[in-house]
Amino acid sequence: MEIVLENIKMNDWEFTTTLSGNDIIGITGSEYEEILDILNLKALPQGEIKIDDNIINKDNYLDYYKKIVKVGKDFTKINYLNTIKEHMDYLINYYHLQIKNIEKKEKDSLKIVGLDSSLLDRDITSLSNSEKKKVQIAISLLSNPDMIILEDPFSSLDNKNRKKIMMILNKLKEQFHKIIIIGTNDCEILYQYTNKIIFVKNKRIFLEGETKESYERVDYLKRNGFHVPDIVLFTYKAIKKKKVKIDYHKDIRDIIKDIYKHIN
Amino acid sequence: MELLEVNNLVYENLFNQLSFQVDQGKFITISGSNNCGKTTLIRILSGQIEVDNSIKLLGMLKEEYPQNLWKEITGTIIPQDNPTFLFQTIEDELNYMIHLFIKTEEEKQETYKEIIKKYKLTKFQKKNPNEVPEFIKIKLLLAEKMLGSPQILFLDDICQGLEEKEQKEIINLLRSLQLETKIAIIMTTGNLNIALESDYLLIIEDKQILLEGEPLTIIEKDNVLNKLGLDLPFMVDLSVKLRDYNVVDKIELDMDRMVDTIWK
Repeated sequence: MEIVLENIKMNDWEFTTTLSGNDIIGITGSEYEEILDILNLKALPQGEIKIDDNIINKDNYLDYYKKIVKVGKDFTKINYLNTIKEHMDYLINYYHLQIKNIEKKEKDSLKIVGLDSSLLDRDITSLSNSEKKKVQIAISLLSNPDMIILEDPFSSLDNKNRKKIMMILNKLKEQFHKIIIIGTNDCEILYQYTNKIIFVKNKRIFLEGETKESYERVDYLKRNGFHVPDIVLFTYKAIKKKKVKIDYHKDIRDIIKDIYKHIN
Repeated sequence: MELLEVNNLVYENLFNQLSFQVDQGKFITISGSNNCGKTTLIRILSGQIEVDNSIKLLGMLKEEYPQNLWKEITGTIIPQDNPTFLFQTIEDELNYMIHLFIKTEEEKQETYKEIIKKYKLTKFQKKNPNEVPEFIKIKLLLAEKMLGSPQILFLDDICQGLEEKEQKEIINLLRSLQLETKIAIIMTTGNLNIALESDYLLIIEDKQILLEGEPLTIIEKDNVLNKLGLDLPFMVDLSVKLRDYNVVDKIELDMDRMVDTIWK
């Protein structure tokens, strides 16, 4: 799966980029929510959009926009609906999703995110934060999307639950070739869990590339108001202040090994 | 005498014989993995959930207080309940709340000015409080709660989802409130970087208090906290691991000093 966006113009934004189903893509910067909304294609922007070589235009746009879903920061419970099943049924109706066996699809969606199908009749308010996040992802799968955009998905989760959600997202990428986008300003999360990153600033793409290499441009990022993960900053200071030859790592244990080698 | 005492709190299958005390003027953080009961504990303390014979404030059992009085001497903020504001602008909202507590016109105006300055709300006075960013809502809620001069604040993870800079501002605000009014603060958080800023830290696990004490002495127990799914602040994690290798002999929170210590 690949989405090519060329010369996109909308709400003062202008950008060109390619999003691939081979990557977990992070998007960060103070206006990241705005670019997530544009990528969500709730309105057709100016410019050229190709999804796997099919050009998206006014005529076929409605077929495609269901193929891109956004998982919001929090679960938005619909007032008069209570259970997971009620929410799923509502959305299937609302988006006119063509599903042959609705119950099976709903159960399968829960299964993909590692939840038991008996949960369908559970009240949304009785779910834990991590269950809610999984249910949000399960609901997003009902339309069989090509791209899933997650808005700050981890802020209420501890690292055990973060890892579980990441396993689900990796599975969606590996087995189902979906494009996964994580928008957040938490640089530690981006550094640990994404392999491609897009930095946005002043309604433009400021920098994009491999996550690890991009974060190594510490001076450049800091000068432009972006945060850098502590583990990167520490390595950077050691290299810059003490001229030591240590490598940038993702795991703190690798840094410890480097330091130990260096001082002995 | 302690300000607040929780004695052998039992609630459903979340808490069993949970006990702790809070002294006047102290800033306490409570942490633990997802679903350990942090939010429920705040709901119990605030009175949203009733329990028997386990909570004393100023030596008197909670159920001996008339309900309004308990609300007057405590202030609770639970952001996930999406508290809503009554008025269309922050200015109107604040002025209404001020008028409930302050008599003379002159004092009202003075208080309004002080709040706007202290909570850095100048730019938002004419904005709709229900539509401003979460960070501004939290500050407004804090300002409103403080107008009633409570003895203690119960805050449920009010820093969650905020940017690091915003989290720091909230912590500084809480610290200054604590200094000026001798108020005690109980705040839950999943982020140990925030817990590090408090006077005392409690870790809940398996229905009880697992660890309690001065935050740094708790946070350096890396094995226990990692098992719970809590991330150690990077500098604590690095110090603890380097100490195991005899590279450093104490916890160093300052990155530059750490670099200088390792590579003299």
